[in-house]
Amino acid sequence: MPKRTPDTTEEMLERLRYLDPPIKKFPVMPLDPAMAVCFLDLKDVCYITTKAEQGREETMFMTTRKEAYYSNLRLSQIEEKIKAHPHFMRTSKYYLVNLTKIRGLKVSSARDLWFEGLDGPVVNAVSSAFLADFEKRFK
Amino acid sequence: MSGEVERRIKRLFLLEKPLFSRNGEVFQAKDIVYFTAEQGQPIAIAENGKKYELVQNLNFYEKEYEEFFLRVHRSFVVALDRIDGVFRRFPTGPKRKIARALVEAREESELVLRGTETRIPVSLAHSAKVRKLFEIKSLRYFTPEHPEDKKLRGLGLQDFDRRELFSLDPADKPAVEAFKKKWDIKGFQKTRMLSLFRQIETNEIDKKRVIKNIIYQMFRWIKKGIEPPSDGNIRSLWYRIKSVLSQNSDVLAPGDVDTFYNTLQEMIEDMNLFRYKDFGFMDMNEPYRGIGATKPEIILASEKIGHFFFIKKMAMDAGVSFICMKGEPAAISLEYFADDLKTACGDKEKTVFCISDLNPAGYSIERNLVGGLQKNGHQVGRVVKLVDPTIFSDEEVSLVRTPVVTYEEKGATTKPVKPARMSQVTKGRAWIAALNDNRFISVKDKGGGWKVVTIWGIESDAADRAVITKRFLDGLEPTRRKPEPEKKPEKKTENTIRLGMWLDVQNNNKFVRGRKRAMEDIDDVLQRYGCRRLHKDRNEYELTMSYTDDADLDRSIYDMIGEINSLADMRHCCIECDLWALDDTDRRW
Repeated sequence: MPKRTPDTTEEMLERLRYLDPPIKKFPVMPLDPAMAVCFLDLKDVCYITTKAEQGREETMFMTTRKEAYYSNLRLSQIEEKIKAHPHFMRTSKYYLVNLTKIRGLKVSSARDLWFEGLDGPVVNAVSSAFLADFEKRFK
Repeated sequence: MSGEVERRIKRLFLLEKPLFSRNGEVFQAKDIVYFTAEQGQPIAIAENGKKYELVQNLNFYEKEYEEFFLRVHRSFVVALDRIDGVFRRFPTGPKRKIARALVEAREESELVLRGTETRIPVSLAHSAKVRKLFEIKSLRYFTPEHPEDKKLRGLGLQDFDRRELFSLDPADKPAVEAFKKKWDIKGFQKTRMLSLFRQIETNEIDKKRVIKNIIYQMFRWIKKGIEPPSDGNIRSLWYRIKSVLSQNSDVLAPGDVDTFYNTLQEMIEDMNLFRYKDFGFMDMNEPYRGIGATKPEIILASEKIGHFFFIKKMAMDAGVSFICMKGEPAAISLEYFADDLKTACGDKEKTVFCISDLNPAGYSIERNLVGGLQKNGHQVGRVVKLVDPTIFSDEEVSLVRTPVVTYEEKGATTKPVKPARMSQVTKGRAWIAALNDNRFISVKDKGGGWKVVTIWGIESDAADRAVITKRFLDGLEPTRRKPEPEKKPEKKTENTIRLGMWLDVQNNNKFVRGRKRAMEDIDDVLQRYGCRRLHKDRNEYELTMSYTDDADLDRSIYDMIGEINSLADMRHCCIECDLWALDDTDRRW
């Protein structure tokens, strides 16, 4: 009879990690110019995406309060830093989403996602390349 | 593996474990914002502001909750997941040595915690732990920095309204108003000014940084089209800023005007952040420059305003551009002149013919003119000195030369002879080395091994104007276009008229001086017209003017009056002037 204990323990550990993620804060550019660094609660973040304006490429953190925070790290660097966080997953070349904040999705060739606190959907938040993995984790 | 599960479960509930205060109250660590000590007694501060006297010392709680709380100061242990941000800390204790203060200012900071208004200090000894925990390089500014932000920070600037400004529609007036209300530095109250522009080690506002940031903000707002450009000179901009500031923070006093000038100059001429022209400042030297009709890429320049009519005529005859400077070229004049040149002849290589004194200052003026043109995007292919040592005979040099600087020399030791300064000696020696003409240096033996060295120079006014004109025309030859053979200029008959002139020059008010210098400058101009003072103590003159028709005569007279007026204005004076034809006293100007 195969041993099942390790699987159960692993599963328990994963559940525990989900309940108590190892990373809670992430340094971002503060909204208040007098502040030097702002630490954003990752539990408030809906998604992280890339943004370019005035020739500057930045990464934007969108929160449930509709506030946008920015970092100069690339999306892949942020993904690497929060890879231990079970709530976040890469869903396209341009998005890292917080699975716990998804409140709706539209099924098409890609996926448009609705997030807690945000009005409109994020179009093509999940691209076909990441779709299978997304569906597996989201279920 | 099961050990890990156990540890994690324990961790999950650790913060909910009951704790007891010294007087028997029960509380949970999850409600605590930070642990500290008051008069030697350790206490816990809860989210609701309640204080619990602790049974154990701070070390105990730091160790017990090491994954949840962090020691950031000898007297503070804070809840990690409550850290919302970091501010720079400006200790207000006794003054420390400035070097030490700077090191500490780089590291010391204050934490903002969710659940309390109190800012918690992070001391130098504990800042590394905080940085390591959040994987950041500095607690003073956000990292990694964008290169643009890094550059601005190095210059003491901040474009904190950047994102909003980018998305702002200048046509949307209410949005612009709201934006300005939020971000206009001039409208900030003193406390906000202090939080943004505080000096290290003192609880005071860094005025220079305030000025710098206001100027930079104005530049960006003018560029965006939400702020009107200045319609006056730099001083009018100062008053525009000062008047708004005085209603809000009143951080600048009237005496800070010099700081304002210097800061603006530094930002434009040293930092190259923008140009004077970007602010729409008027160019006071506008009347003394012009763009050539046929050969704008050739520039005839003189360092003396007194050469204005001379070079203007030469330039107009040859169809070249001209500029008359008042000593060192003003950056703002060069900006306007360079832009006008660009409009007229684009990136075509420029040739500069320059009339400047034969002395270090004259050479510096010429260099700065060429440098200024290059800085404003022009390529200067050829520079021709119209006044150089070769146009003076030995006899002329000995007659017209004037001492520039005198110094004493013994071996490698050099001492300037007053009123000269060492910097003038250095410049003079560099100039004479480049000039390589012994007629401009004399050495006398003083005894005791000392020699007295005098470096001489010659004013450009001493040069024969006919020679200058010839040199200019000869120099022009390679670039001259072939004359159109068929087209001959129309010959106009020249008339002459004798004029009488009454001229009075007075200081603008009793607090300014300059009448004597103004009179000297004006006399210089009047000499060009062959003007003669009828009596040394009276303001009456006589002059003869040639003209082709009445319109030409009017133009020439008003040009001359305008010139005299400008010269007087530059010396803080005003003029009253009356001209009449000596043959027909009814004709007056």
